[in-house]
Amino acid sequence: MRNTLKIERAIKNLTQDDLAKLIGVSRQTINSIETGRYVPSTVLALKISEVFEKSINEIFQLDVND
Amino acid sequence: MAGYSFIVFVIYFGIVLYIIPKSGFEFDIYKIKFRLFPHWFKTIALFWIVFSILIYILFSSSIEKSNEYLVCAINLALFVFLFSKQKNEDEFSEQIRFKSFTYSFAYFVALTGAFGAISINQNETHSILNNFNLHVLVGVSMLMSLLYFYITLYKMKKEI
Repeated sequence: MRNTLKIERAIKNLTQDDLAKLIGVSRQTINSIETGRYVPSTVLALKISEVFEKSINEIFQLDVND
Repeated sequence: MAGYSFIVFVIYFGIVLYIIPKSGFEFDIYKIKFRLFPHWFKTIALFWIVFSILIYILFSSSIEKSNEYLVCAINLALFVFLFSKQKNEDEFSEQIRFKSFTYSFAYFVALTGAFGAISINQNETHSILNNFNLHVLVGVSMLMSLLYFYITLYKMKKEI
Protein backbone atom coordinates (compact mmCIF):
# COMPACT_ATOMS: atom_id res chain seq x y z
CA MET A 1 0.00 0.00 0.00
CA ARG A 2 1.27 3.44 -0.95
CA ASN A 3 0.63 6.59 1.03
CA THR A 4 1.22 10.31 0.83
CA LEU A 5 1.79 10.79 4.52
CA LYS A 6 5.17 12.45 4.10
CA ILE A 7 3.78 14.95 1.59
CA GLU A 8 0.73 15.68 3.77
CA ARG A 9 3.03 16.24 6.72
CA ALA A 10 5.17 18.64 4.74
CA ILE A 11 2.09 20.59 3.64
CA LYS A 12 0.92 20.94 7.24
CA ASN A 13 4.49 21.56 8.40
CA LEU A 14 4.37 18.72 10.91
CA THR A 15 7.28 16.57 12.03
CA GLN A 16 6.89 12.81 12.55
CA ASP A 17 6.95 13.49 16.26
CA ASP A 18 4.20 16.14 16.02
CA LEU A 19 1.93 13.81 14.08
CA ALA A 20 2.68 10.94 16.45
CA LYS A 21 1.64 13.07 19.42
CA LEU A 22 -1.51 14.26 17.66
CA ILE A 23 -2.80 10.74 17.06
CA GLY A 24 -1.31 9.12 20.16
CA VAL A 25 1.25 6.73 18.69
CA SER A 26 5.04 6.51 18.70
CA ARG A 27 7.29 8.21 16.14
CA GLN A 28 8.45 4.78 14.95
CA THR A 29 4.88 3.97 13.99
CA ILE A 30 4.64 7.07 11.78
CA ASN A 31 8.03 6.32 10.27
CA SER A 32 7.05 2.73 9.55
CA ILE A 33 3.81 3.81 7.87
CA GLU A 34 5.65 6.37 5.73
CA THR A 35 8.25 3.85 4.59
CA GLY A 36 5.52 1.33 3.77
CA ARG A 37 6.68 -1.17 6.37
CA TYR A 38 3.50 -1.01 8.36
CA VAL A 39 -0.12 -0.79 7.28
CA PRO A 40 -2.14 1.03 9.95
CA SER A 41 -5.46 -0.17 11.30
CA THR A 42 -8.64 1.46 10.06
CA VAL A 43 -8.91 3.37 13.34
CA LEU A 44 -5.41 4.79 12.99
CA ALA A 45 -5.96 5.59 9.29
CA LEU A 46 -9.13 7.48 10.25
CA LYS A 47 -7.25 9.45 12.89
CA ILE A 48 -4.59 10.37 10.30
CA SER A 49 -7.21 11.42 7.77
CA GLU A 50 -8.85 13.58 10.44
CA VAL A 51 -5.57 15.42 11.12
CA PHE A 52 -5.03 16.18 7.43
CA GLU A 53 -8.77 16.83 6.80
CA LYS A 54 -8.75 14.47 3.84
CA SER A 55 -10.43 11.14 3.11
CA ILE A 56 -8.48 7.93 3.72
CA ASN A 57 -8.43 7.22 -0.03
CA GLU A 58 -6.60 10.47 -0.67
CA ILE A 59 -3.81 9.50 1.73
CA PHE A 60 -3.66 5.73 1.28
CA GLN A 61 -3.80 4.00 -2.09
CA LEU A 62 -3.67 0.33 -3.01
CA ASP A 63 -0.50 -0.83 -4.74
CA VAL A 64 -0.40 -3.07 -7.81
CA ASN A 65 0.73 -5.99 -5.64
CA ASP A 66 -2.03 -5.56 -3.02
CA MET B 1 14.42 -23.15 49.15
CA ALA B 2 11.12 -24.98 48.71
CA GLY B 3 9.44 -21.78 49.87
CA TYR B 4 11.14 -19.87 47.05
CA SER B 5 9.90 -22.41 44.48
CA PHE B 6 6.36 -22.09 45.81
CA ILE B 7 6.50 -18.27 45.67
CA VAL B 8 7.66 -18.39 42.03
CA PHE B 9 4.88 -20.90 41.30
CA VAL B 10 2.26 -18.52 42.76
CA ILE B 11 3.76 -15.47 40.98
CA TYR B 12 3.56 -17.23 37.59
CA PHE B 13 -0.12 -18.02 38.10
CA GLY B 14 -0.75 -14.49 39.36
CA ILE B 15 0.88 -13.02 36.24
CA VAL B 16 -1.11 -15.23 33.88
CA LEU B 17 -4.37 -14.34 35.63
CA TYR B 18 -3.44 -10.65 35.36
CA ILE B 19 -2.38 -10.58 31.70
CA ILE B 20 -5.25 -12.72 30.42
CA PRO B 21 -8.41 -10.89 31.49
CA LYS B 22 -11.93 -12.35 31.36
CA SER B 23 -12.27 -11.13 27.78
CA GLY B 24 -9.59 -13.66 26.87
CA PHE B 25 -12.17 -16.40 27.21
CA GLU B 26 -14.82 -14.72 25.07
CA PHE B 27 -13.07 -15.70 21.82
CA ASP B 28 -14.02 -12.38 20.30
CA ILE B 29 -11.19 -10.86 18.29
CA TYR B 30 -12.24 -7.30 19.22
CA LYS B 31 -12.49 -8.00 22.92
CA ILE B 32 -9.36 -10.09 23.45
CA LYS B 33 -6.62 -7.83 24.70
CA PHE B 34 -3.65 -8.67 26.82
CA ARG B 35 -3.36 -6.56 29.93
CA LEU B 36 0.28 -5.52 30.06
CA PHE B 37 2.20 -4.41 33.13
CA PRO B 38 3.23 -0.74 33.37
CA HIS B 39 6.52 0.28 31.77
CA TRP B 40 8.34 0.51 35.13
CA PHE B 41 7.97 -3.26 35.58
CA LYS B 42 10.78 -3.57 33.03
CA THR B 43 13.09 -1.83 35.51
CA ILE B 44 12.00 -4.22 38.26
CA ALA B 45 12.65 -7.19 35.96
CA LEU B 46 16.14 -5.92 35.09
CA PHE B 47 16.89 -5.27 38.74
CA TRP B 48 15.68 -8.79 39.57
CA ILE B 49 18.05 -10.29 36.96
CA VAL B 50 21.05 -8.34 38.30
CA PHE B 51 20.10 -9.21 41.90
CA SER B 52 19.76 -12.93 41.03
CA ILE B 53 23.14 -12.99 39.30
CA LEU B 54 24.77 -11.25 42.28
CA ILE B 55 23.23 -13.75 44.71
CA TYR B 56 24.40 -16.55 42.43
CA ILE B 57 27.97 -15.23 42.33
CA LEU B 58 28.11 -14.74 46.10
CA PHE B 59 26.34 -17.87 47.36
CA SER B 60 26.34 -20.43 44.55
CA SER B 61 28.77 -22.69 46.41
CA SER B 62 26.54 -22.89 49.48
CA ILE B 63 23.20 -23.32 47.70
CA GLU B 64 22.21 -26.66 46.30
CA LYS B 65 20.91 -26.53 42.70
CA SER B 66 22.04 -22.89 42.41
CA ASN B 67 22.08 -23.07 38.58
CA GLU B 68 18.44 -24.16 38.56
CA TYR B 69 17.43 -21.33 40.90
CA LEU B 70 19.31 -18.77 38.82
CA VAL B 71 17.65 -19.83 35.56
CA CYS B 72 14.27 -19.94 37.33
CA ALA B 73 14.73 -16.38 38.62
CA ILE B 74 15.91 -15.05 35.26
CA ASN B 75 13.00 -16.73 33.47
CA LEU B 76 10.51 -15.07 35.80
CA ALA B 77 12.14 -11.68 35.22
CA LEU B 78 12.12 -12.19 31.43
CA PHE B 79 8.45 -13.15 31.58
CA VAL B 80 7.59 -9.92 33.43
CA PHE B 81 9.81 -7.93 31.02
CA LEU B 82 8.04 -9.44 27.99
CA PHE B 83 4.61 -8.51 29.28
CA SER B 84 5.45 -4.93 30.28
CA LYS B 85 4.38 -1.96 28.19
CA GLN B 86 6.73 0.11 26.06
CA LYS B 87 7.07 3.81 26.88
CA ASN B 88 4.89 4.56 23.85
CA GLU B 89 2.71 1.52 23.58
CA ASP B 90 0.51 1.50 20.46
CA GLU B 91 -0.89 -0.86 17.83
CA PHE B 92 2.46 -1.05 16.03
CA SER B 93 4.41 -2.23 19.09
CA GLU B 94 1.51 -4.58 19.88
CA GLN B 95 1.81 -6.15 16.44
CA ILE B 96 5.59 -6.57 16.69
CA ARG B 97 5.10 -8.08 20.16
CA PHE B 98 2.67 -10.69 18.86
CA LYS B 99 4.94 -11.51 15.94
CA SER B 100 7.86 -11.93 18.33
CA PHE B 101 5.71 -14.23 20.51
CA THR B 102 4.84 -16.34 17.47
CA TYR B 103 8.51 -16.45 16.53
CA SER B 104 9.60 -17.63 19.98
CA PHE B 105 6.68 -20.08 20.23
CA ALA B 106 7.69 -21.73 16.95
CA TYR B 107 11.31 -21.81 18.13
CA PHE B 108 10.34 -23.33 21.50
CA VAL B 109 8.00 -25.97 20.05
CA ALA B 110 10.49 -26.97 17.35
CA LEU B 111 13.39 -27.31 19.79
CA THR B 112 11.32 -29.08 22.46
CA GLY B 113 9.92 -31.42 19.83
CA ALA B 114 13.35 -32.12 18.35
CA PHE B 115 15.11 -32.71 21.70
CA GLY B 116 12.06 -34.57 23.01
CA ALA B 117 12.26 -36.95 20.09
CA ILE B 118 15.94 -37.65 20.81
CA SER B 119 15.18 -38.07 24.54
CA ILE B 120 12.77 -40.95 23.89
CA ASN B 121 15.66 -43.36 23.47
CA GLN B 122 17.74 -41.93 26.31
CA ASN B 123 17.98 -42.92 29.93
CA GLU B 124 15.53 -40.85 32.04
CA THR B 125 18.27 -39.55 34.34
CA HIS B 126 20.62 -38.55 31.49
CA SER B 127 17.93 -37.28 29.18
CA ILE B 128 18.86 -34.23 27.11
CA LEU B 129 15.43 -32.75 27.88
CA ASN B 130 15.73 -32.76 31.66
CA ASN B 131 14.15 -30.19 33.95
CA PHE B 132 17.13 -27.81 33.85
CA ASN B 133 17.50 -27.89 30.06
CA LEU B 134 13.78 -27.31 29.68
CA HIS B 135 14.06 -24.21 31.88
CA VAL B 136 16.99 -22.99 29.78
CA LEU B 137 14.97 -23.60 26.62
CA VAL B 138 12.08 -21.53 27.98
CA GLY B 139 14.51 -18.72 28.85
CA VAL B 140 16.21 -18.82 25.45
CA SER B 141 12.82 -18.72 23.72
CA MET B 142 11.87 -15.62 25.69
CA LEU B 143 15.24 -14.05 24.85
CA MET B 144 14.63 -14.76 21.16
CA SER B 145 11.28 -13.04 21.45
CA LEU B 146 12.87 -10.00 23.12
CA LEU B 147 15.64 -9.85 20.52
CA TYR B 148 13.15 -9.99 17.64
CA PHE B 149 11.05 -7.28 19.28
CA TYR B 150 13.88 -4.84 19.99
CA ILE B 151 15.80 -5.41 16.75
CA THR B 152 12.61 -4.68 14.79
CA LEU B 153 11.94 -1.55 16.82
CA TYR B 154 15.57 -0.43 16.41
CA LYS B 155 15.42 -0.91 12.64
CA MET B 156 12.22 1.12 12.45
CA LYS B 157 13.84 3.89 14.43
CA LYS B 158 16.85 3.96 12.12
CA GLU B 159 15.13 4.20 8.77
CA ILE B 160 13.89 7.75 8.48
